[in-house]
Amino acid sequence: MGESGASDSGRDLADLRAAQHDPTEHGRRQAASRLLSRYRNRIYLWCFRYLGEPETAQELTQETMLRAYGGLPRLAADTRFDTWLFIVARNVCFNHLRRPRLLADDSIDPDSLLDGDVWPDRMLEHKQDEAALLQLMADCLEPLERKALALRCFECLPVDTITQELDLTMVSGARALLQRARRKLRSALADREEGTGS
Amino acid sequence: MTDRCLSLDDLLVRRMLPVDDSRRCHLDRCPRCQALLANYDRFTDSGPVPADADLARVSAELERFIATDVTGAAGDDPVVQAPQAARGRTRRPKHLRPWFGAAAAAVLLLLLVSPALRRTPDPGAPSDLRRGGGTHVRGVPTRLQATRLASDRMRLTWEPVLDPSVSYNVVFYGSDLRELTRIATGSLAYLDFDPEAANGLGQAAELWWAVAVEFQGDELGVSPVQSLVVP
Repeated sequence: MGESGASDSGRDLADLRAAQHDPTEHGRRQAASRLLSRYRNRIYLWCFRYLGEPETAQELTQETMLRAYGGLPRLAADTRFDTWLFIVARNVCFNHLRRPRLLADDSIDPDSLLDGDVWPDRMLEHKQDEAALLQLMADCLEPLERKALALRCFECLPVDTITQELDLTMVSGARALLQRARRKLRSALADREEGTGS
Repeated sequence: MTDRCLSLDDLLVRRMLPVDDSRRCHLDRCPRCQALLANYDRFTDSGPVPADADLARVSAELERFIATDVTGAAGDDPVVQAPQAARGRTRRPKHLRPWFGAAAAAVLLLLLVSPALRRTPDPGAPSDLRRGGGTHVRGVPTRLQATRLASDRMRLTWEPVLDPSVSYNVVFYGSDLRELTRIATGSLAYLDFDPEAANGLGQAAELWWAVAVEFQGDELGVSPVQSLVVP
């Protein structure tokens, strides 16, 4: 693919410097083009695997490129370009998708929600609650459940992708794993609520 | 996110540490940081390309898009422009001759005047300016640091520039380094703030920040940007 690897950090650094400081406008543009082009396939493929639609993936890749180009002049010289670009692309995709709710993702577990049971939905609205939830995840979930739930809820990965990511071979893939993790988490949260008397 | 969540760069560094190194503790326990790393690994994965991704076509279109719509580099291709410029130089001298004398006089005047200007600085200006330039090198804060205070507040500190007559603005950027907001601290070399309450920052968990130095309304320089993981 002609894509960048870790060994290309030297080229990234040189192109970033040129994109910021080359004495000519032409030189700066050319350097920025080289820098962005090196990652175009990688960003597109990541967006594609993330979203599963070539058209949307291409659009979001283009938006990532535009945003990255706008940010280049401010990027510190010692910044790792590939990690920064990844974060920009990730945020572009996050903005595109509505973030699934941690405990109440309708696409995964529609029947398990109780009517009027709104408290799980509030969990991510407050960062303190979120921190407590992370602690609960660490305490009460198995490593594989924790990983699947975190990939789904914090990295917004599609369920099928998580199945591949975790090399799950069972028919239900990550779906069953996520349901079980949510069930455990809800139960642990309910216990905690009872314990605190609220 | 926990109070010790780390930037992706920090996570990558810590992942390289031995398994029993205590600095890996957060990485080994935090689901969110682990998920971020796993997602980044997918970004760097050069595994098989899905057939329905239509990579060859999209790659060519993206290449064109970058050159034409993003950087505009396609519009100033030196291979095309150089001969035109060369032709221009050979044709223009006669037309330029009437201007040449005036231009040379202006340059001469500038050369004569500029040393005088350098010798008469604004006595109130910061020392970096009085030294005559270099403000972007000497006049920017260094050692930017972020620490968490109680109640999810944060303290941002920096090594101030030597001149006490300057003032500071903390500038916040989104992950794409577009400016979100700036907060003035006057002459103080720190800022205590609540990321959630700070106007314009919204719910952003990943920010970048820098410190701009001002003197009498003029921005003298901006420090390099730093990433900031909001608790």
